[in-house]
Amino acid sequence: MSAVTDWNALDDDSFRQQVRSFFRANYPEELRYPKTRLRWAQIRDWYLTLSKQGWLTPAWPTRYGGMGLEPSKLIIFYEEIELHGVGRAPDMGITMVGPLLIQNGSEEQKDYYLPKILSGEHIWCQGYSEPNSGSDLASLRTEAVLDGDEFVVNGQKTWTTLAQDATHIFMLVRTDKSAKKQEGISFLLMDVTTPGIERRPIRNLAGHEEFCECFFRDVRVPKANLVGEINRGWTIAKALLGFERISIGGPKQSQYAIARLEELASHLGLESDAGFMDAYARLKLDVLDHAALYTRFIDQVRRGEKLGSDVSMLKVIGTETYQKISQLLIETAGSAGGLVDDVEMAGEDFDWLTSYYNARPATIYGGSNEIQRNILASQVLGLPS
Amino acid sequence: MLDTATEAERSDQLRLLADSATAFASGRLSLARARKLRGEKPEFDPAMLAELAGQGWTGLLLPEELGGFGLGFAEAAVVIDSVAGQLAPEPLVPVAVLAAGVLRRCAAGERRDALLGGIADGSVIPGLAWQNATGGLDPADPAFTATVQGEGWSVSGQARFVRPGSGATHFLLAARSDKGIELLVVEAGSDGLKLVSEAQADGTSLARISVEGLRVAADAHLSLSAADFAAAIDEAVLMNAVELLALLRRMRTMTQDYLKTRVQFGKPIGSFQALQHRAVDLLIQEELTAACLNQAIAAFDAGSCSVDERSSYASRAKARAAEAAMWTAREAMQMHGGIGVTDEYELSLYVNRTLALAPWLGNASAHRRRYVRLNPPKAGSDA
Repeated sequence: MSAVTDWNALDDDSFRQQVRSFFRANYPEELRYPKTRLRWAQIRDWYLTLSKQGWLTPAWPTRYGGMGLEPSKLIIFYEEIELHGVGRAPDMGITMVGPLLIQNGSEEQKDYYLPKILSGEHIWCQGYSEPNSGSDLASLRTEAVLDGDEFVVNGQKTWTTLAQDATHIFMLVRTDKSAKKQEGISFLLMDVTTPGIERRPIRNLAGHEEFCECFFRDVRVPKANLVGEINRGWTIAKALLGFERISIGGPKQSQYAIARLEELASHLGLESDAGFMDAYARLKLDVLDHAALYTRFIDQVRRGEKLGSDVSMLKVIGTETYQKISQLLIETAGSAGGLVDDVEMAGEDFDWLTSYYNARPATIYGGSNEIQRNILASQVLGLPS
Repeated sequence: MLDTATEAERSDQLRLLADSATAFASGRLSLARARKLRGEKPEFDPAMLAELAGQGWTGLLLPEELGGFGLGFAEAAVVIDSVAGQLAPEPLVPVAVLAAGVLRRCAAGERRDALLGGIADGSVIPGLAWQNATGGLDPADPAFTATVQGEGWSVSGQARFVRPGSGATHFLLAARSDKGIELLVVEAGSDGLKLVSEAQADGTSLARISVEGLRVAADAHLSLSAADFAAAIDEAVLMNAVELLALLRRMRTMTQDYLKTRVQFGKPIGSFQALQHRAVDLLIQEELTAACLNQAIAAFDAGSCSVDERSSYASRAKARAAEAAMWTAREAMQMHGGIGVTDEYELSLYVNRTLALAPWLGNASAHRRRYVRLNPPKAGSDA
């Protein structure tokens, strides 16, 4: 892009129209509404198309190659992505590493890494969880010991989404074993081809390989790959979880799933089945009311207000509603409920198991729903520990 | 007026109204008063209703030329929330929303205008009688039948679940005729009007009203379309949901406070995760209810939805509010332990009011059924 456009100066409708027509004209039809996470080989061309358009990193400031969108425009951008069914590209560089470096990185780190995210040369994955540190993330034990100008890293990360497609990993590592657990953690960047790193895909219930476990044996990483100060990694990582907490609580998955349930019900003529209709009505109203609550929080973002801990409730109700719908889908499928992929039912194809499988990790990742309830109890209700 | 105020001005006005409603409610509407009025005949204080009218609250939704303020449902909700939160038994929603909503949709005339003016100043307290003995909720099929007889009308039938019953000054009998929906205005205590009170959980009552060939003069007859009648009922359903939100919020915060102060095993019981998570689920239900109601209220005030969309909003709101309030009541009792099931503790007043208000004008399952009847599942409709 030669000239930088001031997107925020456009009125909302014309901005929306521009985004929408670009998606319509350029996003591959066969990749709309993907049922599972797309692999890099499938989504690479689209990633590069967005990059060429200057739209890969809508939230980044313009001086780093972003669109510099203010919250209200950003919301429109994401709404259009969802409306058109644009698949999620490997976006850890875009949503996590970029903003993190922009806030906490050195000039050298920004100059080196940011352009390579934009060009698609670097694809990032996230190394946070460990086999013994899931909900209790701060107990993580993967260790980085300074040895001259390098850190020597030993340990194991897991649930690393699409690590097999990544070129780089950003990690939380323990750099001080004697400090209180949150205070001995640092934020470290690594090239995944560094000797001593091994990635093994983990096959999930649905038979897909969307995440990996990663092993680190005496991996030597330049000291320059530390982001921010040593032992400040926890604070840096926590500051990033703002927008993720609202997007993880969005209504799209439930809306999509209940639309499938409605199709199935109307195909099977269940409008007169009182048992089905009662279960359906509850879930339909849950979806609508969750969307109303989501809108309330989005309006808060749009007004430029900071989100409080109460945003956690969106994830809880959203993901649990999604699970209930996926459950009703397979119940409604009856004897065919255990059939995989596209299943013919009354002359139409349905895929209920994908919803069922996709709904499982939703209550586990991004802070399990039990952790979200703990947060709400202590920080919103002020209940004692 | 609604259409001229900007959004910011309106939210300032709403805040002011909320402040004065809260101040009035905490000063004048004590829980001790609510407790004392239980089981009385009438079960509310007509002087207090007149005081509410003096605040302008019975006329909030009425046009200015009829002594009202021409305000919207957002404003009405703010007032109803305060009054309901203090458990005032005065029939604000039945009179100022339901009866007033029906009357203001009738053709203008001396009789109608006098009744509406009386609602606004607190001197007229009408009870709308329209549901049949099994609680039918179809506005097109009201409880009474009316036929023209000479100069006037003859009305027969029996209505149930009428609020207010005792303490009402008038009853509005909703009747079907061969022309449509008729409304017959009958003064309380009239000859031929039989009233039986049915006691409710909260010490208020609902009335059964029956008449057999009751003669009603032509000037006591009003008429309105079935659609207008239904629209007025939907408004009462929505404002009834606002009352339930006020009740559930109070029960939830009482429970939250109790969890922080009640000590067992040497710790506040609110430190136990099992109870924390249950308390959080109530918070989520409260926020879902508030978000749903705000959306419905905004749609009603915008005035741009179809009749069915309006009914859908009302049913969504009532289904959520009634379900959440009944859930909160049960959980509040359990988390309070033994004291939660005593009459002496204030929670009992909230639980019993919830039991009375949740079924009024249709409970949660009735409104879920109505919602899906209006919006059946269809292929190709994205939520």
